[in-house]
Amino acid sequence: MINMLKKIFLNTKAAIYVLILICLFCIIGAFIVYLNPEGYEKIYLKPLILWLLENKRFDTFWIYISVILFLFVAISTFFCFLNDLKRRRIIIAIMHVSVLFVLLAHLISSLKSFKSTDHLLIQDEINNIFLPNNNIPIKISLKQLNFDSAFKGIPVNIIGRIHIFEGNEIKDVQLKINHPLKIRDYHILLKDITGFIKHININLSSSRGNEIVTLSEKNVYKNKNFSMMFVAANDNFSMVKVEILDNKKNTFQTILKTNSTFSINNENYTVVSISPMIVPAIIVDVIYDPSIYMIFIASSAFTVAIIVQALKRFVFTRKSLSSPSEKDYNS
Amino acid sequence: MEKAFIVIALCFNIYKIFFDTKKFFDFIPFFSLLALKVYNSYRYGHFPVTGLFETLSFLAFSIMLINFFFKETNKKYFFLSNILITIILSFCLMAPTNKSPFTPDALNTFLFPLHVAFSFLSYAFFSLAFIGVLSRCNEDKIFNLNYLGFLTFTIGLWTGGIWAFKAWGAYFLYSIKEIFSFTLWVYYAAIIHLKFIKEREKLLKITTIIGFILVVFTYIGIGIFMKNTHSL
Repeated sequence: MINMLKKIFLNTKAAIYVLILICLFCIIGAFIVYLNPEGYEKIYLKPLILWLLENKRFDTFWIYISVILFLFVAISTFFCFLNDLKRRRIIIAIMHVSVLFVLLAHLISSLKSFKSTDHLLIQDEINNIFLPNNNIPIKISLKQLNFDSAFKGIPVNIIGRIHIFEGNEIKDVQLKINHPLKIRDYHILLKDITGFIKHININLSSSRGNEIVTLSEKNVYKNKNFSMMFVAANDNFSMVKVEILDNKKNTFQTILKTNSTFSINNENYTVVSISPMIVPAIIVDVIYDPSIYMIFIASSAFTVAIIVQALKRFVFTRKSLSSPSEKDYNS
Repeated sequence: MEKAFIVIALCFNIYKIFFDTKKFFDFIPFFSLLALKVYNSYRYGHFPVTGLFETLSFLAFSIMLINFFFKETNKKYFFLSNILITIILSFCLMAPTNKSPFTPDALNTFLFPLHVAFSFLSYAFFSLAFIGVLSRCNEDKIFNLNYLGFLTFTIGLWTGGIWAFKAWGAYFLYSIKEIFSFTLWVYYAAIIHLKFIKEREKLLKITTIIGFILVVFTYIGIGIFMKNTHSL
């Protein structure tokens, strides 16, 4: 039985055909992904197996077939690895075992990894990031944001100084693009920077003098004459829609803009200025991939092994890359 | 200014196709492209590998570099590789140059130039393996070129994977370019295994030709004609 299995899985021709079949299905898959980008938009945000269970569509057939073909490749690679050990071909054995570990790591990743995207961290606010596989949220706060303006005002050299709350301990660390942070089993990635409108100050003038009305989505402004609530605003905050409740409990909505007027209980109010209070914020993604180090180590081992094999082949054995001359053929 | 380097390289390369030049002339296109790379590295503050102009000029440079390491006696091989370099440099002349040395934060890592440089070095090896088939070079040489292409492509994918994880949080984003690059790796892994079967000569030639078509489609087809997030 084992001999028969060996015969099947140690057959190089069969392995080559299976690899070419994988290529064929991957090419079909690449075009399917290209033609249906919405369908595959969230494929890397959750474990592949979960994604496949949620997306039971015909156009995912190439993934199932590729997985089955890779299973054949994995078994074949395992037999090759044993064969290499038997023949003491250590470098080739390392290459084969690395491929096995990359496939295994990818399988683990397909079962467990996820990406939680677009978490807004507002400066000086403690943000709790809740994750699907953990009840304890990541407590994190942006303390400072530095960046330079480059070509067409695009921000570069972005550095966020952040505080991470781990029990009673506060870690003060830096977060940059291309430099993810590791917290517990998660990687936190800086994706983008933005501004967060904390509140809007409206300067109102009346016969009683000037007063600053501070509005936000959470706060309701109150004075003796009326209370005011934020409803909406346009993109550049030149117009703000508010809901006003006077002390006779009459409610009405109005749009405020600079120099506009409104009256409540015979008191006339004029809008002197509208100024939004914008605080810096960053957008982060949280990644959970339990097999990322396994993939890194295995792929590094493969790369080093193939370089060593090439050096052995072309440098140490002095086997030239050029075509052999007639003399070489004769010898 | 940058196009002047390409014009010099192109002119001497065309001259090489029609006239059997002395060794001195062989070096002029190579050193012209080397000077372009040094000049742009100085301007940008990093190795220039962004955009069609830089990648095409690097591809032509890589083919010339590889040819320097060959003691190839096959004249047809050199003739065809010079034709290929001329085609690449002609496209390069038409491609727009980068106007600003601006580099966004996501590209500001040593992994990015390594990823692109090794990927294009591998494209150069695969292209020369294809020329090896057309000029009827011996099987060993075609195999070695494919092997070195596979080696450099592996380094390119490895550095690209690490960089993608650090910048975007995933080493594989299921885009058409990434799936094709992975396919290319699996395909050339299959070609490498041809060494272990007996009746390989014809199969090696056919697979090398198909491999070159895949390389051209992955670089030009997807990079230029199809909309995707992965640049070139």
